[in-house]
Amino acid sequence: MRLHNACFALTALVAIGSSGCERQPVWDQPIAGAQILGMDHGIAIVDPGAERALLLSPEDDLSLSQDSFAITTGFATAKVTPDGSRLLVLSHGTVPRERADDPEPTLQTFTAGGGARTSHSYRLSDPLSGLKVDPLSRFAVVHASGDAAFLQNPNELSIVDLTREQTDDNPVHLTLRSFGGTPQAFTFTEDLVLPGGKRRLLVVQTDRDIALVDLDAPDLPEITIPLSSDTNKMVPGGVAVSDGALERDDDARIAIRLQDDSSVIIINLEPVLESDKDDTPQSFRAVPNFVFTDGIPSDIAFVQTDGGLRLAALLGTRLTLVNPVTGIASAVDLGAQEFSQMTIVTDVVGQTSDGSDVAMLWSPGKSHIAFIAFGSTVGQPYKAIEKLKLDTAVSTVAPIGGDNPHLRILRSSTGGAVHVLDLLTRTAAPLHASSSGAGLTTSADGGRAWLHQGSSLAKLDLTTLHPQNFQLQRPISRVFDVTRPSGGDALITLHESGLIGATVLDAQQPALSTARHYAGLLLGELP
Amino acid sequence: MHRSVGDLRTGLVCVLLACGSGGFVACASTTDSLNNEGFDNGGGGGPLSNAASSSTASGAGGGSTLPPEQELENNFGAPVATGRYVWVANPSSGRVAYIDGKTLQIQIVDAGHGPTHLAAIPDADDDVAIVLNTLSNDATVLRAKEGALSSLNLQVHPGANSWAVSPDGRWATAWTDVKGIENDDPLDGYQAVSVLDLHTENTTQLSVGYRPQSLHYNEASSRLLVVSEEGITSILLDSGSPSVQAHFPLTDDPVEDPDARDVALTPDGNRALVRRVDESVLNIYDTDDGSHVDIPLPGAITDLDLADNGAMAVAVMRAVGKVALIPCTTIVDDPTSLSIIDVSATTVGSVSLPSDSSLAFLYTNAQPNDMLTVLDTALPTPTPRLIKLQSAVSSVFPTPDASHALVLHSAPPVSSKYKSAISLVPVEAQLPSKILGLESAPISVAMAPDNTQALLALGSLFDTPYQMVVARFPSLEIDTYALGSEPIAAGIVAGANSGFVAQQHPEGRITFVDFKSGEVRTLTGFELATQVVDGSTP
Repeated sequence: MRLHNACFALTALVAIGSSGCERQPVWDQPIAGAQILGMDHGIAIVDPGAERALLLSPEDDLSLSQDSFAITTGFATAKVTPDGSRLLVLSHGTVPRERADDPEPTLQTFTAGGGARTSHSYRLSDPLSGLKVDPLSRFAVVHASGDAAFLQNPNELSIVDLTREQTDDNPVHLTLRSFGGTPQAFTFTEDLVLPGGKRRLLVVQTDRDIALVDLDAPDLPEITIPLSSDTNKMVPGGVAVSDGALERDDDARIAIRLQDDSSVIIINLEPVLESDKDDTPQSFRAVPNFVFTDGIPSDIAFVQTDGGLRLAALLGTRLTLVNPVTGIASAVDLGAQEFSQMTIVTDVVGQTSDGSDVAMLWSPGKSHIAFIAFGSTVGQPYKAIEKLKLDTAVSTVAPIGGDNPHLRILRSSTGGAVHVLDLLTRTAAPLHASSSGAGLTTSADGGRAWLHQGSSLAKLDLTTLHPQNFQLQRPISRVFDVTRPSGGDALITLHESGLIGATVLDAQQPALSTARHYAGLLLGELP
Repeated sequence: MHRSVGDLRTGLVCVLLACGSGGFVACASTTDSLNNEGFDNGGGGGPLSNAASSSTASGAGGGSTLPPEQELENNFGAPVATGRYVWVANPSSGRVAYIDGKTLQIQIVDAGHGPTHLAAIPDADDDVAIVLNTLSNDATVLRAKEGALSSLNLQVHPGANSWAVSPDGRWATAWTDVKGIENDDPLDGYQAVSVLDLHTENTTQLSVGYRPQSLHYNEASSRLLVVSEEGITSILLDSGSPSVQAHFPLTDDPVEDPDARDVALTPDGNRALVRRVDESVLNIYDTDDGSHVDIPLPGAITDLDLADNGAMAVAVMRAVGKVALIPCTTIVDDPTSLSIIDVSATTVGSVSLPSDSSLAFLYTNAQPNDMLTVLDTALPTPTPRLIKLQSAVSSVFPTPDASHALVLHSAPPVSSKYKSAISLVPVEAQLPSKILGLESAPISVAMAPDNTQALLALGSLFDTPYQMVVARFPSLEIDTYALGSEPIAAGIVAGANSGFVAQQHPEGRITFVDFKSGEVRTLTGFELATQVVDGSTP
């Protein structure tokens, strides 16, 4: 259905009139709890009260086309796949189920825009509230998350292959083998070349062990690596994954950072021993090995150096590089400033001349950034460390995609200042907002950033760094820079008061004169 | 020269250990006859501690003003290596990890309460080790056979902290070495020994002399001789259950300091050779009846060593520049067979005897001296051959066949940037030796039984970096590898053609080096690796 500005009130009246004065129950449902998510071609509004999801897509004339999907009773949470293509809605169904036709727990997926409109529903075994989505948008994991059922198994997972419809083997319901731990975090690996073929793993961190689930064969028993010995309890704190050399299938590794421990556990994924082949269903085995990092790392990453693969562990003013095979560590002194976060930016800035990685180091609340090029020079295990000093402390680092992957937007702790960091030139251009706490959104094509505060809106051209300011009529709560199904980009600014309003602008050539205004998105498509 | 020679049926004591099961070789310890004979130290290399603290009768320089000779090649107790496996005990968990030296696969087996002291058991077919469980007062015999492991528990007396294992692998004796006890009470005699018969799976507890110092089996494994502060206790093993046969003192002087004597037993166990600090008389005791003969030598004996095959004993008299070659098989019947060799061309006070050669390596570490003297004890009138090295000698580790020697040098001159140095000395080929400066001092050395490799662990808590050095013969190649943490001991896994350096780490750490490929791999967290569950067992 295509909606135009100022028609929502009329729509509501017509809806009431056409119902023969019989008021539909949905009109009595509260509008609170709506969840709004950005998608590639629009936005999704999950309206639990009306048990529906609205997918709104901007058209050529900046009008919003609307698709309404019914969602299962008992909404729990919703997410959008990282590629922006699917809305995932997790619902508990009716709890407790007393009749056979009571709704079951489900995970629903919805896509819309450009005329396409699809939905899938996956029946789940339990009303769980946790939902993790694969960064590559293929899988979703449903898990327990603070659910308050009378009896619940916190180690129960449902793994959904979103590229397939529901079948007997999709989703796969499994209960992780537990030595007393419960899942705390999930990591989806990319394709790993392992003995037995290429596959993806789900790394589940509990508070005392690690479980590896083969996402390509989730019905196989998972591999559990207890981390705690009789005398020493070790709690996972983070994960880094390396596939190793492309031509080898025996050198993939998973590194587990530990909380409150100066060691990192590297799990080598090796071929199953000949003597064990008849006894194990697995085609690879997990061989854990400690490496000492000489301090509790705040972040870890596998990096390529001219000496081969190393595990980099960030320790404030030091970076420890550990050979994952020998366990031999060398230290890099980072100077007086402390860093807690590390991002490998080699894919943006390119490898060093000897094929080594480049990492960006930063720290929330600190005003300095460093770049370290791995690869040794005489007497030191790195090639260069470059530092940038900003005039304000950084709170977040936002990546930019599309045409400007070499840029990062650094938000200040107060939100009043923004720096556009160029990873190639190692420069940081400052931009100042007149008020603090501005919201920030970037476009998928990497060409623009949007800042908003109150009813003020600004577009920042990330190529020229030229800002363009606008003043809307209503306070802006969030903005979404989306691609129009028919081409071009639109900016949907939301006014999340009442029934949720929106102002839609052309994202590339924004002008208030051509903008469209919507007063009550939640009224759309109601019976 | 007066010689008083009795019934000298001598043998040898050497702590270059070779297991019959295809075995293992521990550190090439050469002269410390006070160390425990047998397999109590398995494949672990010898820590090179300050000799003064570990040596008892190291010689006092024969009245000269030189300090005592230092014996640096003590043994280390853990871990141990058998033919293919390295065994490591974890007292906290009650488990023993055994690591395949070829595949580096780690397996874990439950032992008793507080498994601590490990020893390798010679076995022709299997890899066998025994561990003392210090908290449950028992021992666990662990046998790896074709990938499967079986265990057997036997009782031992409370307080045991050492092992002595017979050459045939049938007997393992748990005893208490007072050197391993802090704040020992003088009223604690530690006189209990537990003799374990691994064939019948029985334990016999016996009493020996006050404070045992070392235990020795004869080569037939029919007799156990316990050297204590009080003398020697002889235990018969082939007369049904083990029983004490005899005990006799080693001195007529009731106030003699037992730490001032050095006792070496012949391989057949029939004779004990005793030297004393500042004494020029060598006593040879008959271990059957305690009778002894005295052999006066021209000077105070600063070191005494017995060849592995028992053919020759070498006594060094530093102050007079002499070496006595004592043919152990003939000297009793032919006292004139004792020959005195002049080695005064340079000062020598210590001797190292390789296991498979008649050569003797003579040197001194009592004073800076960069000369190494080589003497062929098989010749009727051997001529000392002097090898000039580039730095003062600290200790010498010959390869078993004596074709080469690894020499550790003492502290380098202040003008050097290095903290230590080693030399690889071609002995047979008489080529130039190769010296290598080291950034930290060696703490453990292990020599491969095939004469082709030597492995050193370098560094300690206040002496970094931590390193592992592999020296290769005859090429004299040297490879240095960094270690992740402080080394404890070096060892050889002969059945896997690899070496290892055990290191300090709360979860256990060993770095292996494959001698063939040079590949180095560090394993840390032995027990963690065995706890992985992959669904193969429900």
